[in-house]
Amino acid sequence: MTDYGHELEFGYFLVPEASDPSGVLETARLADRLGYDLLAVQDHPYQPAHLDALALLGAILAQTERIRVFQDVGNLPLRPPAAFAKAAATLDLLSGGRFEAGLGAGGFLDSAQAMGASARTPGQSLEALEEAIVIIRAWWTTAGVLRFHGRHYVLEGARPGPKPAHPIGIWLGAAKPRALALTGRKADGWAAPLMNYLPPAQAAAAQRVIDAAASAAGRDPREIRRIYNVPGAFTANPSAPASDTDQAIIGPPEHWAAVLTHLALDLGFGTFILLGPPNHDLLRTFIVDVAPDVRERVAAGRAHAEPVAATADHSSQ
Amino acid sequence: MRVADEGGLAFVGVQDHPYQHHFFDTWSLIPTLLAETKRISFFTDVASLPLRPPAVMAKAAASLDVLSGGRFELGLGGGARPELIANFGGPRRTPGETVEAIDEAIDVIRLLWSDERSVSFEGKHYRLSDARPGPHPAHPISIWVGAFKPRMIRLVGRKADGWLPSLGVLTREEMRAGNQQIDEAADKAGRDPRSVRRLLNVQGLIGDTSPARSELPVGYLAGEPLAGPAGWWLETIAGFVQDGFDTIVFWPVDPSPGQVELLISEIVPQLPGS
Repeated sequence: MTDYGHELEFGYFLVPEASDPSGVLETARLADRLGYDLLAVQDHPYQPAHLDALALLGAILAQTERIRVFQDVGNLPLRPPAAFAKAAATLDLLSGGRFEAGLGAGGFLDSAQAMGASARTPGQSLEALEEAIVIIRAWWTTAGVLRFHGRHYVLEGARPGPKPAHPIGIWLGAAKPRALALTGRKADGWAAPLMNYLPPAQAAAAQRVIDAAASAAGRDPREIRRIYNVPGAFTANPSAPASDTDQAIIGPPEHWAAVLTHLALDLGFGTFILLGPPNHDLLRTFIVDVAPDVRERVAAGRAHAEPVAATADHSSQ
Repeated sequence: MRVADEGGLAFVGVQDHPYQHHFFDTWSLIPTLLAETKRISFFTDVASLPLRPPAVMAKAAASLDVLSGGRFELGLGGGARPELIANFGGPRRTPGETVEAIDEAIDVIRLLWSDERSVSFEGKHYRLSDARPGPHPAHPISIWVGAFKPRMIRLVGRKADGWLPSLGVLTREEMRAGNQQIDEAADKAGRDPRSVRRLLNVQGLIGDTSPARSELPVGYLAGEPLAGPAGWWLETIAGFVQDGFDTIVFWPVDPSPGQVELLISEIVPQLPGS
């Protein structure tokens, strides 16, 4: 099994509930105060009950100090890549380097099309995503004029800028083999589907697809951070022993810590995003009771595993 | 900006030129500014339509309005020179198509702010098919159009909530004529011409003497910035009001808070009605 050795990060999946904007902002400030590393906001512009994710993230960054944010994940069909790159760089600059770029080909192509997005097959959407990654990266790094002639996007000679405050990671939302392979080839991170859609056993299979594609492209699979969106609840006792077919984590903090440690050491996840109602106790328990415990257990597990890794390196020479 | 907020000004306009590499993204900057102010409203001056899908613009505008308790208005324009838009990946449109696109975008945006459960629109440039509106803005957001040529100006009279030209791009005579064309187009469309707000971007400097032109930073308005002491500004503004304008958007060529302080202390209290 795989551990990519990433420093662990813990986040909260903040629902951009349009009916309660002040509650949403309050939860964001709470997560910041409690010491979360990340806030994840889903981006479904066609969902009428949601606030626009980028507008909300702008408001959140202005009202928080340390926490980083990303769209989990950004809807490419409705966000032209150059404008998105510029928005990301702006939010990153205004926040002192606290924006990461979650991006996906768009899971609900019909809904995006209803809002006016170009009609694309799943294959074309993926092609467009690959082009967008090239444009967005170039936007953040090109000093002169940027020209791009793709099948889906054409820039006839843009002057990119401003530059972001830190190297923004592009984290792709991917579920199917072609998207996973693209993640392995090009992305800085994989924002895996929710655990209820992709239980650990299937996530492990997906990791192998990403790793194979990364290796084939001459990349080290460890370059790609693995992000898991984890629903669950805290209860006095685990509902059942943990299994890799679980769709959620339900149990006391120690049970959570044991499961997340397994997901980190054996499945390679480095970032855990908590899904659950925005109440203080839930947010607090996860970050104050579970997160430090997982960090400790993973550090111990890695210390124990190191000699094994060295042996493996040695034997492969 | 904080000075403007505390000094009781009504609006801050933020220009939108995504292809200007040294500018922030306007739609990302405004949420920050809203979070750092309490009373003042912000508007895009003006949002470049070809570079963002209007449905997403509607959603972003409504979200900013909801998040700020009703402090966002939408300035909308057809975009700068076609080559700048194309450089950035936007569609290359003729002037006629630009007017059409704004016309359609106003419908699309209003549909997405509406109370309907589901909306459809079949335009030449934009389409909606059973899109679901929401969230609803916290207050009725106005759409003010940056219009400089007769066709677009007539469109303002027909369906926009306001006209938002810039001094210097239009001569004073053209501005007067524009207001008249808007009145006529509004009448023809069965609207009260008074329901169309008339805003004017005025680039300038408040001071005792006019600085030499070479000392001024380069702005994006074509004309020479206005410069003069407070009394001169009062007369000038009275002239704009006579020409039909009701909202003056002052663009200080000197971006320090001092100019905004002068505007608040020396000019605004002396205006009729204040």
